Amino acid sequence: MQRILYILILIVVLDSCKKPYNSPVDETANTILVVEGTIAAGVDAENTFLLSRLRPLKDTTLNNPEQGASVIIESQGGTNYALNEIAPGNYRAGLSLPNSGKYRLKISTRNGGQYQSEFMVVKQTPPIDSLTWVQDGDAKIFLHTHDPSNNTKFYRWEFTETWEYHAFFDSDLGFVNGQIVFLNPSQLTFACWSSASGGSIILGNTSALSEDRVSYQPILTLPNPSPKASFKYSILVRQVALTEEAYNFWNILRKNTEVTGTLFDPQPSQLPGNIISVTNPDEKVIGFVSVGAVTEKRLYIRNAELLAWPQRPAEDSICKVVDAEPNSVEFLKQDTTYGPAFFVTGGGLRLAKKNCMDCRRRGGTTVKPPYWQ
Amino acid sequence: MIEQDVIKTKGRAYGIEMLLKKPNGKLNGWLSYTYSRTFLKVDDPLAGETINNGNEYPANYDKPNIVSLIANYRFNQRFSISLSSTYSTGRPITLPIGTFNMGGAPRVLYSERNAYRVPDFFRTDVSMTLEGNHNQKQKLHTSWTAGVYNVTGRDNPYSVYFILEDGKINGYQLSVFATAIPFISFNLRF
Repeated sequence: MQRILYILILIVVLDSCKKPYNSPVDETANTILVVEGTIAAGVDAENTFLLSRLRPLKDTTLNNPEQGASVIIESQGGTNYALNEIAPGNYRAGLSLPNSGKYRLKISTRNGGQYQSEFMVVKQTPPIDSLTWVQDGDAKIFLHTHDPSNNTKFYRWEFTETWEYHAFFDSDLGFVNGQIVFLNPSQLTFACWSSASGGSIILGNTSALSEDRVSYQPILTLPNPSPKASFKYSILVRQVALTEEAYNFWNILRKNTEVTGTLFDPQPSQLPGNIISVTNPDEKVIGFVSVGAVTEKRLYIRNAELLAWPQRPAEDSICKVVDAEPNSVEFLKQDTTYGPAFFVTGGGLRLAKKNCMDCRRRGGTTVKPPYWQ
Repeated sequence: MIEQDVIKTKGRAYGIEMLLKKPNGKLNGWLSYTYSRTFLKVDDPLAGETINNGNEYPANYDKPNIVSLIANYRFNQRFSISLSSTYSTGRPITLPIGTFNMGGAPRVLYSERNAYRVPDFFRTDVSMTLEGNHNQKQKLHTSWTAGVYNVTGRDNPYSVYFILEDGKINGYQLSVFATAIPFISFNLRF
């Protein structure tokens, strides 16, 4: 009896241990402007800036874009280059800014806020020497670069992965208005391409080295058996040279969000940005605008070059043909998850699951990227 | 080298302590009050990063007001009651303020270092003690004590933490004695 009482008391105590915490932070008052982008000098360089607002912690929306702002790159000589909003909060322009100038970003938001970064010289970025990979079960991708003039020292890399993958069956048949039809080449859904951009901050610092050289910088590990390498995989790595201040900004952002969570991690630090509000100097703005050039390099990996890397994702194990002759048309009308696969000589039509014939169902597009080799 | 791994921090602390004590009599005990502040400052630009733009911020253990009260009342030789009560300001905490996207992933913005405080701590324990007989020749002296820990049942947070659940960042507080807990003990002295 006593033991039961003790257990009951223990349950009461433990049960009330964890409770939701009402944070004293007034989240609605914090609509801080967030600016991301690099002023890219050079011939016909892509200049893209993403503008958004801080979201409350309980907000599950993926983005809170700042729309309808005027975004201008200004040179110290007084020339203005305007960016156009191509998507909500996404401002871009292809510009040819001379490398010799000094530039800053100016933003006017819809609600009358004026923001600007400081004038900065163009920091040159050396080319990426090479991208290499080794397979140790998983495939690890490395970057190599160097600056013979020993001026770069601080690097940041971004990447975009693109991969070609194939459906299980290569079908040239379609089912349109109750009829089996042959598809023209642009309608085929056998080969698809998908893309994804990396979400981790990759930084390099050679300031403690006698030579400004980066070797075997890890960019990404492709886990085996990732379907990204089921046929042909490609990664485009962009390299940006940073000033020491910009490097600190990205390094603190990385430490605050990628290495916190255990007892011995450092406390989060304040982000030292370089954008100020002209209208209200006390207003906080998140972001660091660098002025530089972006260099890039692409690497391809074919499935045949990899060891023991499956060409088929596991879900393709359901793919088999169905013989419903002579009632194929009725079958397709009733079960819309199936489609016509191919004709066999003397045996009529064979059917299969659409998931096994339409590669778009795994998220890609049948439009081949223009650079694809 | 340790000089490169440790960032130089300047500290500043001050305060005052007061104690009222009544050691004898039927009613005895003490009341103490402490006002103390501790601030830290990291403003060496050569260290690579400063905290709160080089301005002072409260240390993790900066609790300005601490009050404690201990009181015993002895009704007779065998029966007494006692009360113990503590109040202190909540300790400082750095809170997440909001989320934003940068570098292709969602990120969290934090407040200035230790800009907020967890709720204040307050706890009162009461007890009464019944002594056995005081026969000098007896080898073993016994007494019974009964009382209540945290009699007001205040939910004192022991720690506050945030975790990501279904894309939302939710805050939780952990308490050790979140309710009033009665107790009985039997004491032996020899």
